[in-house]
This record gives sequence, C-alpha cells and structure tokens, in this order.
Amino acid sequence: MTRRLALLIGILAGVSLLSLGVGGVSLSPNQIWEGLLSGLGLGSAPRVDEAVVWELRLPRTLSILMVGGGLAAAGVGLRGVYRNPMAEPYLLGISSAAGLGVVIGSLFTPAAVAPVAGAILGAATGAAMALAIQRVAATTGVGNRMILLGVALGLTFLAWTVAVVFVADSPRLPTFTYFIFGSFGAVTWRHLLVALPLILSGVGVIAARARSLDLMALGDAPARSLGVKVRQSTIWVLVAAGVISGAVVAVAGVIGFVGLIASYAASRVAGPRHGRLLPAAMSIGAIFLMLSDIVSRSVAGPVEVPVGIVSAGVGGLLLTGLLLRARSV
Amino acid sequence: MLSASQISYRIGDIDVMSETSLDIEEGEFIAVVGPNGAGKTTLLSMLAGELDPTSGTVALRDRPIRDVPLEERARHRAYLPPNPITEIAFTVRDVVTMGRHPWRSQGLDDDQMVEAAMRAVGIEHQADRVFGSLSTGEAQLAQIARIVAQETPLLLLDEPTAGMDIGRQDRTLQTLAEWTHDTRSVIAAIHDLNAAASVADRMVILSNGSAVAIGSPSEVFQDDLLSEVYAHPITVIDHPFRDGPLVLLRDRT
Repeated sequence: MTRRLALLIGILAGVSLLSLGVGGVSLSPNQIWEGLLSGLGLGSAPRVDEAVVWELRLPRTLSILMVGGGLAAAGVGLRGVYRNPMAEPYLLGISSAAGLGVVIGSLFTPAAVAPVAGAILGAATGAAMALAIQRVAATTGVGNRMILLGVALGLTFLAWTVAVVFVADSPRLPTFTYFIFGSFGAVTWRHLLVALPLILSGVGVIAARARSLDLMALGDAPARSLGVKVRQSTIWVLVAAGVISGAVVAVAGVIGFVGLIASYAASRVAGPRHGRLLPAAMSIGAIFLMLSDIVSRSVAGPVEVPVGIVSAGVGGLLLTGLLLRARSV
Repeated sequence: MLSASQISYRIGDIDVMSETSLDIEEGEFIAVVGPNGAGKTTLLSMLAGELDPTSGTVALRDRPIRDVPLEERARHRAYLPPNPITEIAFTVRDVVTMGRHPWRSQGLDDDQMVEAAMRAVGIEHQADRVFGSLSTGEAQLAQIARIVAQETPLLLLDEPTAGMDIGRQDRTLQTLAEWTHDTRSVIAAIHDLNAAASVADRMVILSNGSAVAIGSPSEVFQDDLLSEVYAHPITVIDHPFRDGPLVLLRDRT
C-alpha cells in the first residue's frame, strides 16, 4: 500500500513538472529549475523565465494541487458519511451553493478584501449547504434520492450564481464561463494563500475522523453502539467538506466531479480504510485535475477551455456507470 | 445488569411501547417474541440506549444508560440492530475487528479475540472475503462474530438469525446460549418460536407494545395466549426430543 501511494506521489510530481512547463511559453524542466532558483535569488535565469515560473506557473500548479487534493478529500469525507460513492461536493450541490457565496462575498465588499471575503463567505455557504443536505438525507435516506436532490439544488444555485455574475458584469469576477465551469487561468498567489488555510484545516478534520468513518461503514446505529460519536463526526466532516468546497470555488470556480473520480479511483487502489483512502484520493484528485488543466490549456491553442468541462466530460461518464450499476433509488 | 422500569415510547398518539419493565440478570438468555409491529425492535433499541424512552428509565448497572458515555456503554453491551447494512467494502476480518473498537483506548485491541470470535460462530473460512460479497446468512454470521468480539457482558440482538438456514440458525443460537452460561447475558428478538424456546431461559411475549407474558418457555407458551397474540390457531405440545415446548400451527377454520 505504501508503495502504491509512493507511486501516486511520483506520478503527481511528474505531472506537476509538466504543468509548470506547459503553456503559451513552454519551458523545459531545466528552465523551470533555473527560473525557480533565480526567483529565490540563487541564479540568473532570463527574467522572462523567472516571471513565467513565479508569477504564472507556480501559483497555477500549486492551486491545482490544492484544489484537486481538497476536492478529493471532501469527496472521501462525504462518501464516508453517506456510504454512497456518488456523494461528492458538486453532485450534492455544495460547490454551487458555495459559488453563490463567493460571488456575493466578492461583489459586495471593498476591492481590497474581496478575495478574502469571497473565500470566507463561500466556505460558510458551502458548510451551510452541507448541513442542509444532512437534513435532506434524514428524509430521503442516503441513496440516489439524496443525490438527485443535491443535483436539483445545485442547478438552482448555479442558475442564481450565473444570474448574479451576468447582471453584475464586474471586473472583480472572472468571466462567468470560467466561474461556472472552473478555470485556473486567473489564479494569483493571493487566491492561493487565502484558500490554503481553509482547505488544510478541512483536510485535517476529515483525516482526524478517518477511523470513525471506517466504523460508520457498518451503518450509523452499529457505529454508535461501538462508541463512535456518529452525529459529531458527521457534522464535523460535513462542515469540513463544505469549507473546502467554498475555498476551492473562490480559487477556481465550480469544478465538478473531481471528488467523485478521485474517491472512486482511490477506493480501487487503496481499499476501504479512510486513513489510506484519503492520501490516495488526494493524490489522484491532484493528478487528474493537473492533467485536465494541461488539456484545457493546450487543446485549443492560446484559448483556454474551462477546466471543469474536461473534468465533467470524464466525471459524467463515471457517474453514468455508477448509476447503471446502482441497485436501488 | 440491565433493567428497564416502566419504559414507554410514543410517536404522536401511538403507543409503540407502553410501560414495560424488565430486569436482565447475569447469565440468562432472554428471547423476545411477538408478531410484526409488536415493538420488539423498539424495546431492544431502548434497552441498548440507542433510543430514549418517552417515559421510564433504562439503567445499566444501576446508572441511567443515557448518562453512560458512548464508549463506556460499548464495553458493557453490544447491540446488533435489525437489517444491518450489507454493502460493506471491508473484509470480514476488518468488520469483526471493528468489534474491538471500544477497547482500543484501553490498549486491548488484540487480534486473538477477533480470530476466536470468527471461529466461535464458524465464519473463519470467510475471513478474507469482502463483507459485501457474502450471502445474507453469512453476513449475519459475520455481524454476530463482530458482536462476540466486542466481549461485552450483555448482548442485545435484533433478529440475529435473520436469513440463516434452519441448521445454521440452531447452531448459532446454541453457540450464543453456551456463551451466556459464563456470566454473559443475551437478549434477542427472534421470530421463530421453537428456535427461541430451545435456547431461552426466559421469554418475553410482546403484543401491541406491551409485554403480555414473561417467564420460562413452558410457562408462557399457552395455546390460547399464543393463538390470540398471533391471531392464528396454535397448539403447544411437549418437544419429543428436547426439554420444553413445541409450537404447532393449526389450520384456520
């Protein structure tokens, strides 16, 4: 298992290097290295290379790492709480709800604090939506009906978000196509640094509950009868998944299906134990999103395809497969 | 060990359980029987501390169970809820090991108990199989192994033999009965009256949310009582090979 995880991390490192190199100006690994060192005052690479690496590529690649890993962690948490492989931030409507929070937070606050306000309000809205889903699940159960309700609510929030972005037409927001389908085209260090603590703490909470999630695979009542504080773990994990989703949306817009793909693939590679599932899913989520972003940057020349379209193209197929195999509604 | 005094459970105007009292003594096997909807599951989940009675109290060793922290409860009683989830990606051994969870904080999460529990119920040959791939009866057996591995003085089992063939049902109940005689107690909801009577020291007959009879199988199995409770003509005779009663269904006239 540790070997598989090491392999995943190796692949992630390779893909990250590729991500640093690909773009309008393509850089060799050597140029990337020189550019990196030069930015730290340890070399004399051409200024252009240094600028491309430090101002464009590094924040972008690190954001993808953070967003891919974060969405995957949220997916693992939601999947664990609901014992449903389809439970992930986008399909449960959490990402879209957070999107509305981010848009409102960034539009109605002074420009200086807009990115922070957007991320925080997005995280709060995401967490609120996750807790709302928990109320919904109490009546629908945790099966396909819950997912359908999440999709319905998600589409509603997405419509409102599009309306606000469209009407406001503000330079503070990325164009709505990028926001609605997700993109790393406008990421800066500032976005990254605002979202990082939110995402890290969310991941930390889910990691701390990994063992409880294992026991909750038996069902809520059996887990509780074994001494697991099921209600407390559920709420913590939901809030963590909501906060992560909100922070992610503030960085890169609404990107669907990464949590689904990563947690599904990781359960194949790493088995059901959440302590192992989590790092495997985070690596896979980051690898998948990195590849999606590379495709989105290179497929149509200088024009970027929103990265969410690439992930949805793959994720939609996986969802179809899972639904065809699911036994009950 | 565990005692319920005057516990009731109401949902709206409906009395799911009304003023039932029961003391579970050390080393006894109590079978709870009764028709569908009589309140067996409600009674067991209240006894387990999983459902708070609307009135009355359940006391675990003289302490109200709701005041006992979850993890401590889990070292005193194990509870098998009805219709457990079957789609579990963990292996049988992993699931049985989860039974040791309450003892982890005491440093007592030993593997020997897990293996012993699997052997006791006869599921050890399936230890490495994915739980979700087991048949209904095998899955139930693995759940019982998990309950056994929890090593608690009291076991509350809601239809522990659901989905098992008659031979396996008998062996499983006999195993549990042997177990109780070393100071452990079992209270189990069981549909099959004859299977229940073959292992129970005492029986509780539930009907419409109240205990209409509590006593040894031969005391409580009376033709007219069972016929009324099950709304079906029933005759009780002496079991030809075992001590105790044998319940026979007659044709409805």
